[in-house]
Amino acid sequence: MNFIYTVSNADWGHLLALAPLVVTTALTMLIDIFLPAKARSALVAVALAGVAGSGAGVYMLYQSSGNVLAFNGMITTDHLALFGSVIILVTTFLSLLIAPGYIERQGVAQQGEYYTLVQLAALGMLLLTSAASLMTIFLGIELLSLPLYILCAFSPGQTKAYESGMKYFMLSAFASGFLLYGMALTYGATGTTQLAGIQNFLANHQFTLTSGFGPYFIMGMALLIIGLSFKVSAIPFHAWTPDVYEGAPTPITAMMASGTKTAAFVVFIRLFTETFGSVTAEWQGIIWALAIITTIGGNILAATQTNVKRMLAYSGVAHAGYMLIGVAVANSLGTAGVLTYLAVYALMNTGAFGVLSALEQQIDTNVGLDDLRGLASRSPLLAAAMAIFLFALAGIPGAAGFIGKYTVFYAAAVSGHIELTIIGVLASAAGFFYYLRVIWMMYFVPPAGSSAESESLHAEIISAGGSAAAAKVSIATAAAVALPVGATIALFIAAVGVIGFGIAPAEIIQLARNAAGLP
Amino acid sequence: MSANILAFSAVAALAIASGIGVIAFRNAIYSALSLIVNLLSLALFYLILNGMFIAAAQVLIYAGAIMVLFLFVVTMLSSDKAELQTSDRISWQRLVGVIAGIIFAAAASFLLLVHAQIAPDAAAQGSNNLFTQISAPGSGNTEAFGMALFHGFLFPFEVTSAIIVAAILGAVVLGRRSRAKSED
Amino acid sequence: MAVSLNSYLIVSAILFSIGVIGVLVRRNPLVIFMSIELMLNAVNLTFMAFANALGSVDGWVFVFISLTVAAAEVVVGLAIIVAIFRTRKEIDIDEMNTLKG
Repeated sequence: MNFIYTVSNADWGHLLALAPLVVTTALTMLIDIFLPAKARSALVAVALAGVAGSGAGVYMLYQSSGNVLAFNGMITTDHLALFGSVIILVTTFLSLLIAPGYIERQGVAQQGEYYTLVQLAALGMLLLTSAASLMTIFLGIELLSLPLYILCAFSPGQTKAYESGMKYFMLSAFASGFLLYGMALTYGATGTTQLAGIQNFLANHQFTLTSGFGPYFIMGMALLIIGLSFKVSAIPFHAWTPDVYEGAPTPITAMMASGTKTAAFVVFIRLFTETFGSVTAEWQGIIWALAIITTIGGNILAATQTNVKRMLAYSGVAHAGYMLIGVAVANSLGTAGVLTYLAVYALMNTGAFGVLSALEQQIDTNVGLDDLRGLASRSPLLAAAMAIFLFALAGIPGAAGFIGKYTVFYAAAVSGHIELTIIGVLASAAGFFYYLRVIWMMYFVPPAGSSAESESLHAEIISAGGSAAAAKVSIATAAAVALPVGATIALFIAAVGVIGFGIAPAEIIQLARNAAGLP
Repeated sequence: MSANILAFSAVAALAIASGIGVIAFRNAIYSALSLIVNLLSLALFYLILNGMFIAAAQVLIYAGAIMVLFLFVVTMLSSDKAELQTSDRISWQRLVGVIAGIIFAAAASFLLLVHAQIAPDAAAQGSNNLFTQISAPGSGNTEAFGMALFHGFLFPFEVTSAIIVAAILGAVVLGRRSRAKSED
Repeated sequence: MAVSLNSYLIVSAILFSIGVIGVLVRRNPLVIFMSIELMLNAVNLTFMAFANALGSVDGWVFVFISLTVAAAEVVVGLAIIVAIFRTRKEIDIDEMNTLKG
């Protein structure tokens, strides 16, 4: 029966990037059983080894040439997939580094499960970046979402964490329904679930809106956009983002914010820019509108927040908007822009959340703007790191964020979408406000408790509600923040990366261009 | 009217009625029971559509395992009547939801009715058109499904195992913690 | 006369919409969850109808996989719901203790 696809050894070779993490995931579970409770924090080393091993696998796949498709067109190891994989691995690595200190502080007993789930979520993200079939995209999204639902609800005994997990679960499952329906209709229209087959079909068939396969396809595409917009938290599908980011453990928020976004944007690019490339006219308008709404709305919503984690969540929405501009451009230049943006966003965003997680080791509640008062005089290094990440997120030239914005806006301007460039530049200029406000708080506002004014402010907070928590905050903010080793290394790596890419961006831009298929 | 259309209409009516039942009943147990009816009617559809194995899996996995789990949780939590049946959303939101859903259904039906049809050559491409070749008279199409699952679709099949591991871990993590907490 | 593909698709679209309405309208988390299951099943019907019409096995495999994934999702979702209800109860009990003490 020669029409049956038989899996060959070459197919398994394409799993080099996934296999090390699969092995260490299993190892983590096994070792967890034999370790005494106190030694369980050593499990982070196993997880880190897995991530490093996967990184080596990515490098080997990058060196190898030949057929990129494997398992009957289920996965691909082209440069786009490898570029996305590297971003995800770096994010996971940093998130794992900041985890032990946070876990110890929060008193999580089930460290084995924590690290296993983080690795499973990373596997889902890797799978998503290398998906070459609707089926693998669906499985990848589920494999990254399921562990994240659980990790969101991980902070022990906190109703807030459970509600964060629940909210994420409900909305994500709802979005998965739309995504799956979109896949079903796309499959029906084109007769295959393989992206290569769909691309081939669309290139060889005339698309009409009201007859033939057109109605199936247009409905499917609209539903796919809705489903994926949920994942990248584009407005109006962003409602879950701030609540989930706030309730989840901060290392997980860091991983979710950049890892999920990277995976989802790679799928966006693969599905729309590549697979639906021959029917660009049918979807470009929708993404264009989404990009504009998300860019403007995200910045406005971020400016109104007083909780730093929520502020970063909404700023993440705004950044998704900038990246959507790169997708709306619908060519390789836009793809290269999005990829560059994703790479630098992973570093600066994970860094910012890393600083927050270090601060939360002192404060029980989430970090509010007031808790950052005078951080520079208490912990100058931490404040400096935060300032670097915020400058980068704001997109000030010299820091990495500027490179991301520049490549995306450049792509939009060159490809005849100058209006997207203008909106993007204006929105980022407006975005300076809320990033600089945090830096202002850290450097130029005296620490809480040192003036009569802030005393009265705290008295107000205390009378307003949560008396015990607020009192604890005022005590904690007076002390310097002690950094665990792992978090220090993570913040150092992220800060060096942000400054390095900001000063010498040529390398990363070239890699992104290669991944997008440009010279 | 032919027997085919008669059977289809009957099952469709059953599916839609039980679907409405899921969201209309105030008591969650009735909702779960009508979801079971809905799942069984979908299994009937699958039988009409030649998917014997999927129909069996639908009955075993969905109507059997998943819904038992649902009913178990519903009955377990139903002592919290007050919390389970919290006041439903204020009416304008409800109205918006209903209108949005109806518009969606109408738009979808309209789009499908305007001469939508599959492209005649859509099925021929790809290496997955096993169905037509194996389900020839004499061999069951369950065989075609099995061949496909363990050859062309081996990779997705393997990945589901990772998803199941994640789900098991989730149940362990979320289930064990509250016990550990009540011990202190 | 055979039933046309589009009749199945319309039934599936109606079921999907019922599920969407359920998610938007109901507040009980369990019923919202059931509505999501209804949506997923509507999609499965679409897959089966297309698989039959196209004579391609992809749709079957997709249904099989979404069945498995749905089972995994149900496990996690119900575990979270149960955990929330449990902590709420515990909180209530704690409050009672403080009052007594």
